[in-house]
Amino acid sequence: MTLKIQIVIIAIALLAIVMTFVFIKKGKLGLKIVMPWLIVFLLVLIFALVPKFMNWAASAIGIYDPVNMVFFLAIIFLSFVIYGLTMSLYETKKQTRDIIQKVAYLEEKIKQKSDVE
Amino acid sequence: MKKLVIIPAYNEEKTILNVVKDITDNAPDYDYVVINDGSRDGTKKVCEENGIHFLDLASNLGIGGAVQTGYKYAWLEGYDIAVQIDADGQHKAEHLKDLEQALNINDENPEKADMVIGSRFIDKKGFQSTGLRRFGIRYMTWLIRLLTKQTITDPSSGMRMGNRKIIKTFAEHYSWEFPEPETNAYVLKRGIKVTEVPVEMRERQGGTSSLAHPLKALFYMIKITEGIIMETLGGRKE
Repeated sequence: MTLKIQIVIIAIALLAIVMTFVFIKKGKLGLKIVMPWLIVFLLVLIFALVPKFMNWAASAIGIYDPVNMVFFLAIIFLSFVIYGLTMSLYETKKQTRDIIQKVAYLEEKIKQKSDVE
Repeated sequence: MKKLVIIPAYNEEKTILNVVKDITDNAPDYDYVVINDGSRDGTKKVCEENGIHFLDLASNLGIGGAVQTGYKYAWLEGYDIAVQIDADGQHKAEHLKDLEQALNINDENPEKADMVIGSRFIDKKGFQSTGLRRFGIRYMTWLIRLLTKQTITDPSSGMRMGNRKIIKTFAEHYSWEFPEPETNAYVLKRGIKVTEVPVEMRERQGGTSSLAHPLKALFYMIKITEGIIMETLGGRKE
């Protein structure tokens, strides 16, 4: 890893961590839901600060080239995130349907009541 | 006894008035409710101007969500019978009494069915649907027979009547996209008694089928297969 790219990665990781805390403070994100991302940002930061860690980690899980490990882990992480999003999207869809149905029912009740009065 | 007709309507401004009139003329002992499923045409306006009783969904839910709104309404309002019909004028209100005769109302005739489907293919009278579509219907019949060992000749019929037990079941669980064949499989797998009675249907009086394109029809068959199989999983006899 050249020094140049090392600095770029460190800057991006730091920025991502800072932004995450800003968003949490503003109430745009919850700490719990963003936790996996924070861990990933921290890992990226550590790997960029001490590239040797990457070599150790790669050989520990039996991958020759540290870069391949990065791709491998990134795909796994993203797959989990997207799968989770699919699940919560389905949940949200169900909740929205229930709310739309309930609103329609209540609206009719209100209309009926005001017609009587 | 309280009886309700559920009419899910998406862009049916041309036909909705006739469908409602058919019920008030030929089945006056039934209440009805139109579910306006976020129509983009004048369906809502037609309903308001003619004093049609309707529920207005704030956003388009699709046929499953719209029909389920009707079953939820029937459940909350304490209806003994609920029957769904299409808003495009295919179904005739005169047949409602035929469906009712085969229904086990308030558990008074346990030998009768909990759900009655109006089928085009028993007497083979009236509009019999088009070639490709009939092939699709036969396939669904075969698939449902394979999974539940029971024969439904018209599994996609949008004319179905249910008692309180069915109203509760559908208020709690209803499929999204292709609800009729899927929910038929669902209730059959759970040991709920289903029967069919012959009805005549008309050709749609307005609007276009949601499955006009052949590629769409193929896609439909794949998804419906998945849907029917999923609905029969985890089934338990009562």
